[in-house]
Amino acid sequence: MSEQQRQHVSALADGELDATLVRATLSALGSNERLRGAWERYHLIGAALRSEWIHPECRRLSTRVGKRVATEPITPKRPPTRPAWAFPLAGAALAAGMAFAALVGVPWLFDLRSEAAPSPGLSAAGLPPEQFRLAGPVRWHLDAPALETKLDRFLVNHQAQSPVSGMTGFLPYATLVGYGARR
Amino acid sequence: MTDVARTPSPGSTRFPVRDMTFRLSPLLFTLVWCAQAFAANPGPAERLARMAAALRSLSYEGTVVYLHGNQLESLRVVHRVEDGQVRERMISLNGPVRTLTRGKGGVTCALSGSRPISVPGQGIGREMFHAVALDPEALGDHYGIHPLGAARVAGRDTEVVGVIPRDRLRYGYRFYLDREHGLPLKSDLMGQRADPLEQIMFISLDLLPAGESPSSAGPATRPPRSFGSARPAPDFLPWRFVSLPPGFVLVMHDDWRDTGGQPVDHFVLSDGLASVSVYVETNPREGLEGGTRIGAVHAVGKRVSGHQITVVGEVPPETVGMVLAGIRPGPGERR
Repeated sequence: MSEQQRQHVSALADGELDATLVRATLSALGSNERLRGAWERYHLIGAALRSEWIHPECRRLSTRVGKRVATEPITPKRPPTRPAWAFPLAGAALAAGMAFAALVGVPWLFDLRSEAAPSPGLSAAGLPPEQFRLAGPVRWHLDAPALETKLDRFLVNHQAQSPVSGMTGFLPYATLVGYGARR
Repeated sequence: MTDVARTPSPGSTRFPVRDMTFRLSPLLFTLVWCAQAFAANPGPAERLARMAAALRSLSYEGTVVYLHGNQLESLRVVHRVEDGQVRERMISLNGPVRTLTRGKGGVTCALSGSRPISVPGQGIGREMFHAVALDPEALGDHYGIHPLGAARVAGRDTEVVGVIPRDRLRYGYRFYLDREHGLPLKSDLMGQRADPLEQIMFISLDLLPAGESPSSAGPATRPPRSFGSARPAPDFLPWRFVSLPPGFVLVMHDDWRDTGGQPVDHFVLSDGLASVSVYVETNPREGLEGGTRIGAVHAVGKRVSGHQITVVGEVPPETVGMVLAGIRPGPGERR
């Protein structure tokens, strides 16, 4: 692992790597275990600095994926007819897959998504479902502000003048203050 | 002679005084124990009276949560008794800021989206300001008062008292009363179903030292008046009420001029616990036609003989409807 590769991996983790270097850096990540270790550490440090929740299972994710893939039984449906030159390509594809899993899976495990980013369940228009939208309590259920204000005044006066309102609840004005105005 | 007098004759039921005392001691002990137990465990009506006294005399501050429907609100409350006068300040902790202050000068309520509302605390009828005693006997015709057990609220032990209506024209209440001070730490407003319509509960409470609540003088320490002891004379009122909901009587009449200078008559009817206000306005610009509500408070209105009549109260809709249907022009001078 050269210093330049390490700097490229660091820049990739920060999303600051030049686009022309991304392919080569991903290729190096797929083939160099020490680079993948650096990739995980950089994400770990960044998450810690941002006080983000850290999933303990994130460590050596690509290594575990690789081992799991290697131990999976292979049951070919037909005799291998693959030419000899195809095996190096398969290895490269596996390495690229592991790198892709590291790139996609590690940020997910660190919960690095922006809070403002829409979740996959949102509608196409970007609006949340109706039942999830904020809706305050409705005062008086009227669409006449002047009349609502008058009823508010009547209610304040009623509570002030009611001889036993102190008995009908220890805070007779909670209804007034507890309901926000709709308008 | 003396020895003969001290010796009971055969078959006599007389016993020496010392012997009688010995035999009666278990009974005396039981009576004393019962008296002490009664004093230590007052009945539900006594607990309600103690609650009313605590509200008039104790100073406290805390945070309450207010649950109505599926909405949960939190409020900061400061309640002080100074110079015998209750001063209360309330502020909403979520949503738009709403505040309410209550004191010697009256009530001022600042709600979001509208101008502040002020109700003066002085004047005709204003001396009633929460100063009428609860009369368990008067309530008995329309409510049953029952002990409902014990519960723990805001980290304190409470005794629960239920005020249960005997019909559908009024709400019921469950008061969770602090065992030590009598303050209500939780209150459930109960409708006809088992689930409460509204709940309000302290989640933190600090009782302020007695030195900060000099309740030894002033109007708040005067004995509260009995319910209905100063009813207005119907013969002099501009409006009268017929076929009121059972138990409701007229307990107050007041009049003033609204912001536009138009006269407003205000009547308060009560059954000793629930109360309803009736406002009669002369040709207002806007008025309520039909019914509406805010939480468990219902309002209904209509026009009668060029007047707008609005009925408001923390009662079921049927009750405000009955009051509205029962209002008639009275013998007194109507403006």
